[in-house]
Amino acid sequence: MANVKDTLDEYGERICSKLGFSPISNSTKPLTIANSLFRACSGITCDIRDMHEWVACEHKAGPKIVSSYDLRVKYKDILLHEEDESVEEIREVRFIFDKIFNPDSTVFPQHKDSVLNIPSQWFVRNTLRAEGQIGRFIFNILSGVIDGKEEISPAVKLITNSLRCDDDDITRLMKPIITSKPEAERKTSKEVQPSKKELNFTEQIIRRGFDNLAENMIFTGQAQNSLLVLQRMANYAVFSIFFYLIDVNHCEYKGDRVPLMLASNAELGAIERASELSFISCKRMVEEYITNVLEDMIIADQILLRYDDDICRNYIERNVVLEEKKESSNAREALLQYYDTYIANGEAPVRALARAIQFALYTFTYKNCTPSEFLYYLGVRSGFVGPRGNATKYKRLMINRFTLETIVLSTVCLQEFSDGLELSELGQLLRDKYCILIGTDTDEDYSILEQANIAQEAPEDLRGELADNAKAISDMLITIGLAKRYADGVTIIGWGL
Amino acid sequence: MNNLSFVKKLYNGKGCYSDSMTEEEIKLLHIRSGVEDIVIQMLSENRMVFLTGNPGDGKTYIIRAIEENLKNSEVYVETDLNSISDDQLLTVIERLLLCYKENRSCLIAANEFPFYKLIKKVKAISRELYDEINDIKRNVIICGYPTVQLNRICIIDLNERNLLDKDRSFVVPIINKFTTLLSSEAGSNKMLDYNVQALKQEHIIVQLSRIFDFIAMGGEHFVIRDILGTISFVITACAREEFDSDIAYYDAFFSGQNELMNSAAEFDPVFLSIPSMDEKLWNGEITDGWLLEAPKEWPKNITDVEAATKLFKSIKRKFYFENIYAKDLTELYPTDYLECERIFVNLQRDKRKIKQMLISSINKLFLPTNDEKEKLRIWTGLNYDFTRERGAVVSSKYIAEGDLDLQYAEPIKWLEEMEYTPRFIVMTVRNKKATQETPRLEINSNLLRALVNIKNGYPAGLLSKQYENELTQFMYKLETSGCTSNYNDGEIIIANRSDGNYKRIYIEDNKYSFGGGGTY
Repeated sequence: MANVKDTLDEYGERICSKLGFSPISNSTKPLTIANSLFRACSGITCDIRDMHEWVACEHKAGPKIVSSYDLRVKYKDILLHEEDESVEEIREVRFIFDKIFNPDSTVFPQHKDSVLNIPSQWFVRNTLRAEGQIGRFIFNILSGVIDGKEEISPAVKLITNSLRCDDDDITRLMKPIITSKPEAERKTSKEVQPSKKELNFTEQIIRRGFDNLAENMIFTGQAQNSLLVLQRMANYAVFSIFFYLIDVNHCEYKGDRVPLMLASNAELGAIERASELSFISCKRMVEEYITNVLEDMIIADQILLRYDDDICRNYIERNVVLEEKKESSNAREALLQYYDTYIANGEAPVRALARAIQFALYTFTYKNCTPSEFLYYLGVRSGFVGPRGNATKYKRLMINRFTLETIVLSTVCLQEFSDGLELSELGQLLRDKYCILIGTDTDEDYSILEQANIAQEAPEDLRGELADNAKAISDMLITIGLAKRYADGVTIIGWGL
Repeated sequence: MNNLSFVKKLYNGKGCYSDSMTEEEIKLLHIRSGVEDIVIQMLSENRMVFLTGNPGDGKTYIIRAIEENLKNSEVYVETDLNSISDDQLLTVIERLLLCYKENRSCLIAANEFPFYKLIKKVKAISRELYDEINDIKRNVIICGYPTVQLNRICIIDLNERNLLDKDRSFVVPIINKFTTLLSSEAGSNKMLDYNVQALKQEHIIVQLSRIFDFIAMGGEHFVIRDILGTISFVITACAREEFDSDIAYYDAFFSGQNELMNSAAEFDPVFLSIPSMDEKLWNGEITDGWLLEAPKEWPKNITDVEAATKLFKSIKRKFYFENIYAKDLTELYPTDYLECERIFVNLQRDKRKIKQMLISSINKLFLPTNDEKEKLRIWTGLNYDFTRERGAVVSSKYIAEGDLDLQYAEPIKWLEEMEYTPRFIVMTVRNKKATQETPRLEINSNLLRALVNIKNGYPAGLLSKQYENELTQFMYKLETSGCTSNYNDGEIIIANRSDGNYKRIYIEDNKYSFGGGGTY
């Protein structure tokens, strides 16, 4: 048995491999994805251990944390007053460094799990477990083949140029530490190889989004600000992962597209309910995809000659390999039980087997986080799902100003629409591209929500509230400076209107 | 229709649209606007005039008012582009092109969106005309020297016209017209007579204008229809079936339903409170100083609390408008509005002082304990999780007060007769060429009030994040424009937003100095 791999673990790995990344960590944060993306695009990895020692401050007790007294001794060469520097001052500085370099609570006493805020290349570290190969997945899209052309997205150049720029105030704060050892000791550069992969439908949407975003940032002058570029690209990367998980089932298995009903902050009851239902559908769609993949794998592996009930049951009883720990946890019995339940629910044997394996996978292998939970955690941390906290029972799809701006910049080519475009046209583009609904076309949006069985379960005034929601979203765009509303009630989207 | 019915119909109904008025009514209401002179002048110079703006801004009204001048001329007039179908729009463009080529004049009235559609269509047909329209459109309100010369196209955007302009306000002339018209109705309604008499009093007009000045400072745009409707309602509410016949102008002003009166409600004197004065007003102890007549009944004598409160509110308004000792109450209006007004009025005279105040407030927005007013600190923050508040920001650069300039946004020279109140001032960098790339911060009245409030001690953390976003964008631009300087001695300031404290760090020759050192 020693050389035979646990069946559940193996399926888990194969699912992630098929997906292109591993949505199975509840610790994945926007900064984790940023680190992963920046490393994949630039090929740069830096040693951040010394910076981590300064940022992980003493008030967060942990055996690995270096005391300020020891820090003074260890780093006396970069202290003007060497060992005469006050320990209390060092303590204070570390406290404030924590605020600057750990704003998203991504720094822990252990260096191996920590990622610092990233203002430039010097902060990009080696792989973190929580990254789940997301950076590589996105880079493959950015360097994949689109419209038959092997072109690398302009987003990659923008990211690498911005990472190289290290004269911003945040990097400057760490310069004495950064320059305390030779560049060769700190930085490893690897040549980046384009993936040249053929992109599927959803990947093409993401790729065009990055291309548009990069071009719009250049057009609007935002590209001159390296920090803004990094924030914006990471923000879109997070959204892309969220979107890919939801859309891939439609792309590969012709499943229904899930309408993403974005609820503005206008406190519209029916919209909020529709948005909650929309998010539930998103999670369901992720799980549907995993089931489809598992079913495909079972069939492709030809592990069974026929897919009748007895043979499937026999497969679970005799052929599924489980590691000792799982056997002792009665995983096999559980697997059988899951299978029986699905069969009792009228599922075909192979489908029931796929579902049973999926359920067992979440129970025994990915105990901490399933892909749909990953969607939830990532959504909350990116502000796309909310409200944050435990106050609300059901979460819904929301949007903050920054993410809204990012999504609009990924959707519209501002240079092409130099006279702007109407809000309804933006609504159409968002609908076509991401299946995002904001309420710009009451009939169209309502009909999509009806087809997805969302409108029927939302309060009656949903139709009426759609237009109010669109107005609230356009108010946000106006405050960002991306839109102008005429007194006729028409809102025009564009730059410098 | 008698005069009362005519004035009444001007409140919130079809009756206030100029296209539903007779020529005589138009004449009756006519108050000469600077825009009329501009249009006449431009047409006489053979220019192509586009009169754009919001619905109700008075485009049709202006055209009808200058009809005499248009008679017997060959000016191509289009009174409402809104009523033109998409197919007909092409014909309009053809005629415009003809005017453009043959040096003929035209007068086109269009709401903003139809005008936008027109421009989009023109782009596909004549790039030359499109470019000229766009150039003018972007340069009707300017800061500093004009960069575009008036050629064939003239755009008068009534959206930029402020009819509450302190020096050229339409309010008082309209009140005068209405009170004159309604004088002939004397005796038909006691309260109407009272209102008409009151609104002829200078003191009352001054108090009323004060509120309109505050509204003007809010930066919102009001159309002529709003003003006509408001004044109509203020005087004639007592003669409307849906209201009590004893509703006085001062109560009506804060009870009507239109955009202008909704804004006026924010400045209802009921919200101004001096406890000792309130007590006297409640008890009926203020018997002096009444311009017309003292209240006949006082709240303290009424047992029903609701009725007493209603009466108290009414007496307080009456006191504000009609008592010569209401000055103390007037001074209680929010200082931010008063200070904003002073800033707009005195910008040229007190530019340096105003700039220092703004710099200090912007610095305080990022670091509340900082009093720096000579250097605008450039603050940088970074986070990737946008659901969290930014805990700290860093500054190692600044721009000196002397390198910054404040400018008015003003109509271009040929539009200067238009009624106008600046809605924003612009902070920009001195000695830089006026290109699009020049960092520029538009400080509108909302942002200005926020900064004034910070100066007066209002906690910056309670203000909308929108202001911080706007200022951060400006700082980004300042930093990338290369017009900032580093602090001396490698100083870097880190502001801890959560507690308002800050830490100075010095970096010299790539070495840290945290506080001078030397102490253990």
